[in-house]
Amino acid sequence: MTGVLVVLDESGKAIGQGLALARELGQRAVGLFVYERGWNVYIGHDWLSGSNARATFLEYVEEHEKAAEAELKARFLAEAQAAGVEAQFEAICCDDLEHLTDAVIREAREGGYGHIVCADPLTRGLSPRRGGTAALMRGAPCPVVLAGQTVAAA
Amino acid sequence: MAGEVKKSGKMTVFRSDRHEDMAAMVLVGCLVVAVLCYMAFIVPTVTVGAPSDGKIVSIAVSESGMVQKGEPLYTFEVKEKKWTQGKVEEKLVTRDIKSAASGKVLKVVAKPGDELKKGKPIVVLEHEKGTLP
Amino acid sequence: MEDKGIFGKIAAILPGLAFMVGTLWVLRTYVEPWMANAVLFGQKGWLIKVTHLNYILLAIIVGMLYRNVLFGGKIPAWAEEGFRTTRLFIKAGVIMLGSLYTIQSLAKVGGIAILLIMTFVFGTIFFVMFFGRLMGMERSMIGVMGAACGVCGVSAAIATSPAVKAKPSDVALAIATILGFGIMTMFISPFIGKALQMSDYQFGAWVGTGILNSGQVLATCLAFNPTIAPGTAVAYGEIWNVVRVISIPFVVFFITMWYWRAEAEAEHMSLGRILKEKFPVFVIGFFGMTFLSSVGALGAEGSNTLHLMRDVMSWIFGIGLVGQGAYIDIREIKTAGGKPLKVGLAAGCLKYAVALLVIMLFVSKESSF
Repeated sequence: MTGVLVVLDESGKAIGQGLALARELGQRAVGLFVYERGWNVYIGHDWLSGSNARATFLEYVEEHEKAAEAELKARFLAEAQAAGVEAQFEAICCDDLEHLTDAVIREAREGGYGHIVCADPLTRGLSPRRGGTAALMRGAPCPVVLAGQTVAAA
Repeated sequence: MAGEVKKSGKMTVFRSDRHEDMAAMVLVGCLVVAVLCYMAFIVPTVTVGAPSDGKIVSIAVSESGMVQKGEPLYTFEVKEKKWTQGKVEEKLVTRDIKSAASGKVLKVVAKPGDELKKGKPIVVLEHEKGTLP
Repeated sequence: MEDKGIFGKIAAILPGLAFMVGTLWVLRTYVEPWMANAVLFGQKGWLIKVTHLNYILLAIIVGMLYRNVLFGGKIPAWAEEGFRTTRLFIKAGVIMLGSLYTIQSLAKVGGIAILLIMTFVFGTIFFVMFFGRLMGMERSMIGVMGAACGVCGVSAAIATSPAVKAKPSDVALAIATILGFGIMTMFISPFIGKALQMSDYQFGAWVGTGILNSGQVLATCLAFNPTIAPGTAVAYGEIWNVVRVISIPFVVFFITMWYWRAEAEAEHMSLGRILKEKFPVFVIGFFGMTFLSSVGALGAEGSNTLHLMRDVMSWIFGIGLVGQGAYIDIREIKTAGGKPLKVGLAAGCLKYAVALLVIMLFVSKESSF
């Protein structure tokens, strides 16, 4: 099974690159939205939180994630249609202790994708705080295309 | 492999912070009760330790004698530190320490003239069950 | 992981918990005595005299080593559930600290504490509002940083951010900043305190006012003086702490008001609702313990009972702090940057320094109880 796995993030940089690659290869593109679940561990630092502050915050984050999913899904599918690429959308959730990129790697392996396209820096959930795409580059089972680097512009 | 989107993870072992707060209070309650019960009913002897670093001047009780609550137990000399205008002033103060419990004196550990660190044992008393030493 | 019943839950907690307890036990029975006697650079106990290390700081450092070196950045699944009980221990410890006070002594010191804290809390919030606007920070982030720098660091940040609609990824950045600053002050403060020959009362007041995260206040006080008794650094610092923790809902209310005043679609927020939602219930337990000690139910001062009680307390804190150290991920903190870092550092350092100045000038070394 081949295909281009497009990791969706708030910057949306990967979408254009991913769709272009999929068209070039004549393969389907799959937009992947990963729900960040590391928040509860991340704010575990908090020592004496006021009651229910944490619960309210996590609910708030979840709302945010849902809104981001809906927005990115619409954007990805619309751009794919405009580009004439066969596209699917998927949302997964990383495990409690997993970093977001670990979930992407897992998904790429299980799905047997040919390429991963990912924005760099990856601005999704806690990724900017957790080493961004570095872990993805190390662990990916297939070539990774990093989109959005502005090397040439400098 | 379209993994179902699960709800965001749980925050602690407990369902919410309120539960955690309550659990912490229950835990403390249990600990306090355990400590109090242990001290009141199980501890066989009571060790009277030095309240701070200092020197024993004299001891008012003897081994296997009885002591009542409020009776003098020993005299203790301590250096008292006082902050006055940013400087430390030290002066020696002698204090009579009274017994906080009554009972039989099992052992006198320290001798007059001993320099003791805080918490070092001076006298060991028999514990009267049901009281807090 | 979902529903394993109460016994399954306890079984899942045990390995991590045992690991934390074991660590603390080794530290207290072997490492600390060894440090006190070890001859280094021709001086006995050099490690303790010069580095001021004690089991509290060791517990945090070892916890950090576990997370960052031994486990390579992530707490493994077998230990995770156990390590999550950390906060329970810290909370329980704080509740038990209530037994250090009597109602009279609380009333005596509480007045100064409330005055100092309120001045510094609102002073910091105003400073952040001013400086953040100068830096061109978003209003919602100004709110979050104001709460975080003003009151209780991470707790206040996450309590405020839903109310001011801050972006979670920005909040994560702010949290990294606050934690980094807090951890720095946690290790530096005991040195400064010893160098300036501060008394326990001054140190507790300073740290309680100047350090951001309330948990770090506790750890810093214990690092300065690991004795848990009335009149030690931790006893004073904790009064400051409790006042701060109680003030969180009020600060959240204040910042929410400030935020929504300038927005078109004002959201209705009542102080009563915020209080109901965010009031830290464990504080009631703290005052409960104060009441018990005031009526003498916990034994007289200097008695063996209280001695044992405080020993239990120090273990509870130690266990909690090992776990707390393990929540510190250095790589996450290293990513702190941008405007929150500048504003946070400016506000944090200013508060830290001004608090030190005020305490050294106006608070006498002599304690008031």
